[in-house]
Amino acid sequence: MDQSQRFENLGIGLGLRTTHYAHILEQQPAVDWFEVLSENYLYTQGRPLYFLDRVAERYPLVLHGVSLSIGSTDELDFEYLTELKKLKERCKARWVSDHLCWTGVMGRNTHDLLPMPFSEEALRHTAARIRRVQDFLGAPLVLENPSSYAEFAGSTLSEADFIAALLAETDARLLLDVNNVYVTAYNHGFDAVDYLRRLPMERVVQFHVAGHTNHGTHIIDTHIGPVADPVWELLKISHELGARASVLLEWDAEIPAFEVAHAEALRAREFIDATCLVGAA
Amino acid sequence: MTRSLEAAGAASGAASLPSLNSLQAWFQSVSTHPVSVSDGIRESKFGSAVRVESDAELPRLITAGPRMSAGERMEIYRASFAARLVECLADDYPALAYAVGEEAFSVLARAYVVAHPPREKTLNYYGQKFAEFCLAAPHLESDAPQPSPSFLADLARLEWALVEALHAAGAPPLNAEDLARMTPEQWPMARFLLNPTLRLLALDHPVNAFFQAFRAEQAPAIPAASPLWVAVYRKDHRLWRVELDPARFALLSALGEGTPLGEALEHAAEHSAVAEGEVMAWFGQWIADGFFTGLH
Repeated sequence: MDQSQRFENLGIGLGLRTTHYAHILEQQPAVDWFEVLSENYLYTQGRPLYFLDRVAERYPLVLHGVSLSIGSTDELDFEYLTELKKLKERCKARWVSDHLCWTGVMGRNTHDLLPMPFSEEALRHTAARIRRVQDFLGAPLVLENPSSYAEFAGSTLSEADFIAALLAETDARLLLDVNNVYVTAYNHGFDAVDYLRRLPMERVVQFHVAGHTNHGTHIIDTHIGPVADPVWELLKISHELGARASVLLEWDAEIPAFEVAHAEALRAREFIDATCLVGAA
Repeated sequence: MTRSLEAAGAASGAASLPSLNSLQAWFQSVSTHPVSVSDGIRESKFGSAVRVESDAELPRLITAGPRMSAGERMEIYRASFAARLVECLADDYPALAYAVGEEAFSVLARAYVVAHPPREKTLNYYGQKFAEFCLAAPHLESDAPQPSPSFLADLARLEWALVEALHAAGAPPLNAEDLARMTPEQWPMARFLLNPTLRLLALDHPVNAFFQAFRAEQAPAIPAASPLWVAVYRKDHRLWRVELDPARFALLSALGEGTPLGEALEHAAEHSAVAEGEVMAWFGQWIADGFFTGLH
């Protein structure tokens, strides 16, 4: 693991959303940091970049992508990575993250985060690609555990063991989305706390929390609404297990006023501060 | 390995996984099928390794969950694939979605998704061919009478011009001082650089008024055909639409093609007599609106 790369704890941040641009620029709210969806700024020369530049002047930013397709068997797209690297430099992003998934093959992009089979072949394939991406970006890649709705019969590892093995084989770090852990555990019927215990918590550099939509038979990771209590609980447990990392709230649909979203993000203090006190005692 | 052996292996849970490549190709094919997971399974053939002939054989590749069958789990991915792209098109074409109604728009957009499966890393330009598609494709089955394809295509062109104006690179505007440095003798040979966000459209339907009324939530009816010349551009980080007349449209179009001012004015005069004072007023307005970014 490359110890020279620092992942400072940025505090509690919010996903940057266009509906909040005006509020952020005019009111300059006291938010620790923003996470930026890379693809919204990669393929434009217009207004989105103007706002991004203004926000970058005042706040620490992190880039979060959805199209890297690290697990795909299509060739890595180095044009995409070139643009991503430029964007990272432009907005001085502290790090670049994407998802442990694939988004398409045969030249297609489904714009969905598709599930990986957790096999030895997939592990070797993905680890090799992570190393190539890291060499190109000159920095560790941060990967997020996605929500998933289907599992492959041929998987030989659990998702948590697959992630742990991937982190052991590469210099990548983990964006631990505790909402996704909750959603996936519900959909696949595994124990979320056991999942957390299998992960190397010292490799977590960022948390995601978000709302979801429970349909009874399954939960969809909609990023709507406040964070569910059991998801906050998983954040608390991750902290108890040793993870010390920046926290970010994603609220992507039915987006409320900025203050409402920010207040929800700041609820993280209730769970992380509480466990710090327990740890100190 | 024979098929019976493969099946036996799957039943005992010891089946070897097909290659990652063929598994992903199969998963994508099924999870993006426009009709159903079952149809996707029947139509998706990627070699013997992923041979799944029917719903009953699906658990060879995808397991059932605690509350859902393998097919139901695949359906989550299949349903969200088209829904996401329809939503993207509805974001880019809100007035068109209003014009045809939500249900017919979904049919139209889903047909577009089949014709234009997404390939790019971004969805910013996914709807680029929607105007062309509206003109050629739609056989909208709807109880309500539907607008003509040519109206929809014109409306799509206007809405797409707004998307392009949003994402195009901006450039600092030409100012009055730059112009004042030109001598009267230089004017006829002056070539103007147009604002790169500026889009000039000549259309057969009054879609700008329709769009304006839609935005103002006035529930506009579909208008009869009549010609429209309109400029779409970005200024001060906002998008603007300005209607033109044929002479102004011809003049700006000619300037946009690099035609010197003198010759461009001749094009404009083919549409209507243009008085010199009138041209000065036009340029004053266009400069104020940031239509020009330089002279060359």
